[in-house]
Amino acid sequence: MKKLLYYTLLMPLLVACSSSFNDCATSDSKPNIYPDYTDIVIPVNIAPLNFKAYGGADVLAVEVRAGDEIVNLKCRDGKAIWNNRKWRSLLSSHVGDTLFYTVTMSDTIGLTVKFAPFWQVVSPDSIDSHIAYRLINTGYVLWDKMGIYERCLENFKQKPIIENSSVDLACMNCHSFSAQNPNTMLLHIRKYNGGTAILYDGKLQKYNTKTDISMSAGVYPSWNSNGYLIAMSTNLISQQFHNDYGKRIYVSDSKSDIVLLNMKTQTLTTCPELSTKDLENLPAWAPDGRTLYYVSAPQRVGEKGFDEGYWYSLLRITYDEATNSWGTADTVLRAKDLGGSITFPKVSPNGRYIAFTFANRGYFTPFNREADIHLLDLKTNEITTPEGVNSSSTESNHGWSHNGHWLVVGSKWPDGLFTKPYFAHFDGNGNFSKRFLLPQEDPDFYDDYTLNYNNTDFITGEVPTTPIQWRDAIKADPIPVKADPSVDIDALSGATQPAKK
Amino acid sequence: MIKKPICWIPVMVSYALLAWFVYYVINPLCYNIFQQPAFVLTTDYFCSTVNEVGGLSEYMQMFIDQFTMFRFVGALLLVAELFATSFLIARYVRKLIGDNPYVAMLAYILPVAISFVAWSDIKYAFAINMQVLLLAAALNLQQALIKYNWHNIVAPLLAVTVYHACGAVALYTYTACVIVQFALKVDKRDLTGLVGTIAVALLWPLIVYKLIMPIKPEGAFYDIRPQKLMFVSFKNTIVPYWYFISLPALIAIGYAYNRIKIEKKAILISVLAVVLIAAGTVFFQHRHDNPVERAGFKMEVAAYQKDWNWILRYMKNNKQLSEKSNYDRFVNFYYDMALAQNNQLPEKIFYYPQLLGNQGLFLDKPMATNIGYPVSMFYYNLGLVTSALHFAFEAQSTYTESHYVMRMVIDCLIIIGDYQTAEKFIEKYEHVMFSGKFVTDRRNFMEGDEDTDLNRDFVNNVRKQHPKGDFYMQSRQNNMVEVFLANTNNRVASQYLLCSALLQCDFDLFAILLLNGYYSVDNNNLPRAFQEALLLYRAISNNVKPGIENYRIQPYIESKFNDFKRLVNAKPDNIEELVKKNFPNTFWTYYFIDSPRVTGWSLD
Repeated sequence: MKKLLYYTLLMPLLVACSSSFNDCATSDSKPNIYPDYTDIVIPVNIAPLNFKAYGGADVLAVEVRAGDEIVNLKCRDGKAIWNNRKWRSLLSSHVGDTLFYTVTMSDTIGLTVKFAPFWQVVSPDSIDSHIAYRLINTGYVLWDKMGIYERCLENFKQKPIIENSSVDLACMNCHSFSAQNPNTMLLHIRKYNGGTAILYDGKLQKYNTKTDISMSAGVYPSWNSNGYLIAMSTNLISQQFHNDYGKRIYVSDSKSDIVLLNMKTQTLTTCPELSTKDLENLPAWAPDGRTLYYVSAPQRVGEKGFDEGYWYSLLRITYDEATNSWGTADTVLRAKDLGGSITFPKVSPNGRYIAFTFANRGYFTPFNREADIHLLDLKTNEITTPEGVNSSSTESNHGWSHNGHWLVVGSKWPDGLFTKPYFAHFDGNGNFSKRFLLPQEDPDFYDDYTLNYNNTDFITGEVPTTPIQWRDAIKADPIPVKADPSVDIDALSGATQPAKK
Repeated sequence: MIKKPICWIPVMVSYALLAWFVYYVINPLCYNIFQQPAFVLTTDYFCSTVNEVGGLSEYMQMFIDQFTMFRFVGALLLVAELFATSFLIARYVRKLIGDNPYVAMLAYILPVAISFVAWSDIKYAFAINMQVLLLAAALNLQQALIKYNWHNIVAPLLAVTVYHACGAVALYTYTACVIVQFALKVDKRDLTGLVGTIAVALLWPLIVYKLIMPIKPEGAFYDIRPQKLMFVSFKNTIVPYWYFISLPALIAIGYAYNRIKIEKKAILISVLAVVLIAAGTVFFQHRHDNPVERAGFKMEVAAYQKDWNWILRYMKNNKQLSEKSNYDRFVNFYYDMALAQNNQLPEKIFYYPQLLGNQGLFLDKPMATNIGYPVSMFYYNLGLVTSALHFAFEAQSTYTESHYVMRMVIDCLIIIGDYQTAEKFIEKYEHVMFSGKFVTDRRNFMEGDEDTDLNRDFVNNVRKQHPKGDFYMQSRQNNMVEVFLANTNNRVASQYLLCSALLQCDFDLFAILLLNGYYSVDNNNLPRAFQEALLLYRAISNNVKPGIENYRIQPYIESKFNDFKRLVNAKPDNIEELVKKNFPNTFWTYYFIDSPRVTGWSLD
């Protein structure tokens, strides 16, 4: 009797699951799915790419063909959800192959349609196992809870590196790693418990990077690949709010310079070229560890209106650590020639390319709707605008993976308000594939998610510290860094001070 | 031994009294920006709250206090929560020391009495009671476990649970109770439980601080959870300590009473309880009835409902609010807003001491969490929706789930026309209790339905009148100029613009704005404050803008100004006192006395 009841209950389910939708309508177009995982290149070690139909339709069936292997995806609540193990085994056994997805969806009026297949190429270029980012609400001046988090890209696990609830709700950002190495990291803390917490040489300590020769504590950082030199800008920053809803907010500096912190000697240095009256900013080391790229704009004089036409150029300077000497500044890309502002330069790990953000004004582009990622080939001096990486909304805050085959981009598409991380494959020859959104276990995740992924960066593993260690380091008194006594120029935007004997 | 230590009917009467008190006295305080409902159906939210020390009581408190938006339901729930706390405490104490009516009465009154102290904010009362409620439940459970000889085994576990559910102080109270009951009962079977509990009290917060959670030391050892309390009321931080100390004290009192064997009739004791609660109600109603704070909250509520006339009536009927010693920047802000909405700002602005000058008029600086929503509302009413959205986002960064803030964000986005982002916030907001009608209504609006709460004509009108061009919204005066230029019929912007210049004592700017038609008025019919300002302007400026002389000043104002001049030029020792007495509510008094700028007594 029990068995009969069991089969009676199970029968409708079996019938529903075995339905093949062979008699449904077909479409030549590809399915409109969210997140858009159609026709992309994916890393072999990425977490399952679960998706749903865009705009209220239901995904009824998904057939994935990889060579001779066919996998029928589990569809739950109108969403296509991968079994973790199945996904992992499929990718690992089809490295370099293409997966073809045939999706059957029912639309909102109940019509069932089988769409033309879309593809995903399984790239052998693995992606760094983790990313680090800040999660924050859309406040521009105020904040409450925030934290720096790490997320494993091979699964859906997110862990806090440090949350501000343990450090008096202090503001924290500008987390930065040396060559994507999670063992070497820094983080600025502001408002309460201020300073720069640096994980270096296995020790986590907080430093005060404001010295007599710098106008502020360090701001935008870049680690040298040697793991102990950190170039940082020093800035006097202000922000203004637009009536134009599309522009929202404009962040600009009245002054800025660049300094260099040597963690071995805990000394801060600079040079005349990096401390002019112009606005030197956003340093970025080349992987050779000897060339420092940065952006610079002319000194601001008087009212600038909306700063349309206020552009940053790309420069570089060499540094010899052995002699603590700097070369001469050299302009790599002149803003005037490009007709826009060049910001956030990020040099590819092989040193050949620079991915930068291009916008119509200023340097702080996460709110510039027109901001796009551009690619400069240092060998040919050719500049391209990779289509797959950009959208009609803001693209900014990008970073290279350790192997240089993946680029993470913070994009405000589609709403123009919330930043989310996207990934695109780079073939090493200047070509990017179409980007895809950070996968989440539930495809509905982003529907009501109103936190911003700030400053997403690749790391090659988990940060080997606990939030408690960060808390203790941040709550401790900061260690003051020394100003380099041999420097007779200060980083106060070119105001010289008497040479120190 | 008395079988019924306390009668139920008088107890119920006393709680009915409390409900009345909460409904009429406490609840008006509920309608403020801290109204942040918790019932969001995300596991993240639940986990992140419950994961903290004292997180369970915080989550439950937040869940329950969202009902305070409904005045009657909120009052009943708080009273029910108090009753449950009282019942559990009484039950626990009774089990421990027997049916002592005095102690039973104290047990019933204790939560109420302590709550009186905490009731400067209803959320505080909810939060404190929720912690004690959980603690009392744990103590009852502990008693049951002892009965079945299980306490020895699970004592440390129970102590840890108390710590995570109610916070560090609750753990210490729990431990104190275990010690006291052990001392009183000398129950050697429970020695292991006692040792385990003490060990947890001594070591667990240390373990949590050092190894488990990245929380602040005060969070691990002595912070009063829920954490939200820190934002709600700093001044009453001591209250929960009283609350917790009282419990073991109550047991000790009961023990002492039992020893001297005083017995009374239950009904008399019960009536005494009612009398005490009633007396306490009256006493604390006066003690906590801070008219200024209450006015601020009430005005906030009225402003949310755009009941500007109510605000003006309230100010008129509560003259003490306009005294300098009772100055409150929020009262100032809402009063100015109500005047402007009734087109009376230039007439009556100085009926309230504008001690902060411009700051009181606009409230937006210094930037703080509690100004986000009011300023957003201000700009929303003015028609500058982009600025309203900006401040709503600022408010949302702290009050992430607040009904008011979420609704403001959604409405601003709809008016701006960003339906996609509006829908995203609606999806987030629809998980919040009582959001149903609003959510349906806004969705219908976006789908083109005419029959919604969000009036389509209103939206179209705001869209039409919103400044089209781009500008930085940093300068308040510039904002007003842009809003005015977008719609020269916007009397509110016009009043704010001119009054802002007045409050800055910037006569030239005031004159330029007036002469250039930023306040359209018949030359013969200037508002009173403007006439007073022009008289002073003519008297002290060597370079009066041409055209100002065309504005007619009423003879009685001119004559009053002549009196004022005579007084100032006479320079008596008590000049300030005389000016305040003879020229109250005038621009002159503001200029020389109330204005934040330093002004010498001179009309030359």
